[in-house]
Amino acid sequence: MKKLLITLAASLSLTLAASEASLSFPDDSLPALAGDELIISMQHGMQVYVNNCQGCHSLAFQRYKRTAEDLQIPENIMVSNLIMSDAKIGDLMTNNMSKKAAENWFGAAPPDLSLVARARGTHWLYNYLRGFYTDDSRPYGVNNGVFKDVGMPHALEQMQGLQAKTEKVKGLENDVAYAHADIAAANKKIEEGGNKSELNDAIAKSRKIIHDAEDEMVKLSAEGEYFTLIQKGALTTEEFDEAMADLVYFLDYIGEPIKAERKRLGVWVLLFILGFGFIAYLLKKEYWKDIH
Amino acid sequence: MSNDGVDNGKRRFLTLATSAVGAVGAGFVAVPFLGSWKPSAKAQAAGAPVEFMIDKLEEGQMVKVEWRGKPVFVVRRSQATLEALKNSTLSLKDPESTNVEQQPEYITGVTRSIRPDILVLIGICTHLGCVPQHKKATEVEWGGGFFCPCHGSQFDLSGRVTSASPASKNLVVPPYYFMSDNQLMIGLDKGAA
Amino acid sequence: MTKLAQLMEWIDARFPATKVWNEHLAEYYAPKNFNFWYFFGSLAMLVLVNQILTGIWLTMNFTPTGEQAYGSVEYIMRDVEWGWLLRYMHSTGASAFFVVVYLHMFRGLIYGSFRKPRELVWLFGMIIFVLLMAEAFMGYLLPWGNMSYWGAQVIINLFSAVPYVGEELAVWIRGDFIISGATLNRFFALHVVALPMALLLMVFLHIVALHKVGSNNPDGIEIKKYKDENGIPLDGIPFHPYYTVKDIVGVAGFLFIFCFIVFFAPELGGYFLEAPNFTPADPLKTPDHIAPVWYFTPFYSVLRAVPDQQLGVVAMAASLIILFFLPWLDRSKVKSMRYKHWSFKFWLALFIVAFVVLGYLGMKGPTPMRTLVAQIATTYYFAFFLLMPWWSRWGATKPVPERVTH
Repeated sequence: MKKLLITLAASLSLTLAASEASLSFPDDSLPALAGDELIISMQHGMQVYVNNCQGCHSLAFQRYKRTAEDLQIPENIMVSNLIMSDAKIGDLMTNNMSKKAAENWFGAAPPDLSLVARARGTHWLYNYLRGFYTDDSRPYGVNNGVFKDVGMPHALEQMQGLQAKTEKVKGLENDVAYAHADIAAANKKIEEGGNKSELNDAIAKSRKIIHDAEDEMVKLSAEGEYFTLIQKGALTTEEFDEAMADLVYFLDYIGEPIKAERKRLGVWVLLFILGFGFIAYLLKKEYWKDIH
Repeated sequence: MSNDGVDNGKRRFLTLATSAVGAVGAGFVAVPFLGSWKPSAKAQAAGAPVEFMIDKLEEGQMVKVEWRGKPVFVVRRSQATLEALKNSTLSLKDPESTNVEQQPEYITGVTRSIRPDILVLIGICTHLGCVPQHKKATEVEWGGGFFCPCHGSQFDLSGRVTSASPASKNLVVPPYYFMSDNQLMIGLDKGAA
Repeated sequence: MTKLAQLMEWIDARFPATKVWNEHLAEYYAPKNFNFWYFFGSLAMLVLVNQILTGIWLTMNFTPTGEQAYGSVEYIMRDVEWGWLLRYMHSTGASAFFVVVYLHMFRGLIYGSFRKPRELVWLFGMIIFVLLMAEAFMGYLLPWGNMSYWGAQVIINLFSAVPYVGEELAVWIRGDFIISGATLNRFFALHVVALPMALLLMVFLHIVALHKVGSNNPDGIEIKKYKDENGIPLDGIPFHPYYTVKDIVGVAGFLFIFCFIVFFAPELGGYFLEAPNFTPADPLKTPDHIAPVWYFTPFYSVLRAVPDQQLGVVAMAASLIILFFLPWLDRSKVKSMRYKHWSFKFWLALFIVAFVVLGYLGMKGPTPMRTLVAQIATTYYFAFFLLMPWWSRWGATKPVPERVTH
């Protein structure tokens, strides 16, 4: 009985959990950092941020002073090197961009990024920042592999250079597009009363083509063959990836500045509760000796 | 249920231990609740020390500067005023500023200032907290100073309270220092930055 | 007489302090065979206190306006000392409340705690549950994130399904043509003042009713049947100290899990705090995927399972209302699952599966397959209750012991 239920539940959850997320590239993982390495990475990330991002994207809930303390940046260095406006150390990390003017330039005002790491997640950010590629159909000449038809220009082009999808990838995308068209056509023919079994075979074939092409793209992306640099930037690809990891770790910190502290504190809280629970358990056992 | 062979000592000890640890835990829980009432980072930023340029301040003139939401009076006193303060004929409650709570330790003497000519005071009456009015030395016959409109307390141009006033303490001198000849830092002791 | 005893006598002459203490703790006799499932009543009280305390403290820095609500939450998270902890305790507490209450209700279901003479205990409890849903729903709008906004939008639009006056009713609830600062402000008032007062009153009545009839137990038998010469139930033990010391152990266990989430996973993978809510409310942009918070999803699934909007709302309301009638639906000769026919366990297991599946589907976007499964689960949900008067009488029950098993 139980076994039957479990198998039933398992097969049900499989059908129900059918993958929702479509593929997007790049799809690389953020290198893991900890301890001093992490702090240094965040410091570098802040540098990248104030030089490249803060002009348009405020961090309107976070203060310089708190950031200096948490990232172990001396206040005088913060003031002289990292505060680009006339803001004081206790001020919020805003910028002077006018929202109205920005809406005119970009169509939408650049969002505040205080919580972007919590809204999007670090994996998404790391790939988004590295995902701009040339696409002549877009107003700024670039598109993004993770955020399709993004409204933002490639602000980091000077650092990264310009990348494009490789010929192989373009070919695979073509195959996928044709396969989708074939499936649509076959479906239509079925509706019109065509030979079902023949057409279903064709659909299955097209599905396989899509599936294989997607597998191939994942493989190419993992091998670094998805994009190719067509115009060099100031940094090498490795240096740029590292800078983006720094930036993501900085934004991750900004998203929840208390994160490191709450985990540190949490260990002591749990230990205390454990101790309390132990004594309380002894007390309970002692009293419950009465109950037969 | 039976009470034979109950170890009352052990029971009392465990009850006490649980209560004690529980009380400590309750104390820990109280920390965030009480701590959240402290001035927030926003309040602290707003209460940060303020810089003030005194190069445009004329002799006898007073300017109000805001620090932590309070008015701070900055006055440039003339030589004549300083002479008059030294030989004051007013009856004062604390002429030597012996009440150490009313000024930082580096503020001494009749001028109650770092530089004799520049007076820095918190403009809040020590009686009930109104903001006193500045009276120039040339305006009134008692030599000028500060007059509180609420209950008539009078302070001389060093912020010292007169004997006839309802207020009993001199006006408070906030911590401050000179960053340069013409630049004041109000709200911070020198070297504390 | 000691000083303390004198003081107590002085008070007792004016206020029934000792009497209340005795009636509800020291001489309140509870069955001695309570098991794990009996922790959740006192834990619900603990979470209620947590919500009220942290809630009061959050209002000290929260600004209930459309312009500033979102920013004031981040102000609490960053600028207010310890504000982050108060906020996480409150947000985690909201989910913990439902975990505890669902388990508490499940206990009632398996041991028949709602049956005569405890019908009112169950009804008061059900009112608490509905109030709690309203409280949670309104509280969820307050951070003014994009998920708050669109969640409220969807749920308030349910009222537009009311015939004839629906559209006007929805506008009246919002105080605007869309969710706006006016909605936020009235939800805030209800969330922090009106509903908590109603909740406290109902909790009081829930306990008064319980202490009048006495607690049920896993055997589902009445301990008042066998009393000693002093009129004390033979299978009863004083709530204090025996169950107070036991509940403290439960509290410690609960706090361990609760604090683990607060300090190490306050978002709990997006179940307790959802990622789209870290974007401010935007009336022009719906999040890619809207779902209510997990504790509403089973009922939300029922709503979606019905292809007609008005009937969907009716079904969702019915799925809640039907729970009120539980005391009169169960016609079994015995109360506790322990002595019911084996078929009860079978129907119950299926019910758990249906409820969990509905909850899971409520979090996911709809596909034809999922809608079909939700429809099957919804049908079973209703069948479980509506057919209970028949199936609960099937089969032979096991003999019920005279005294509790311990």
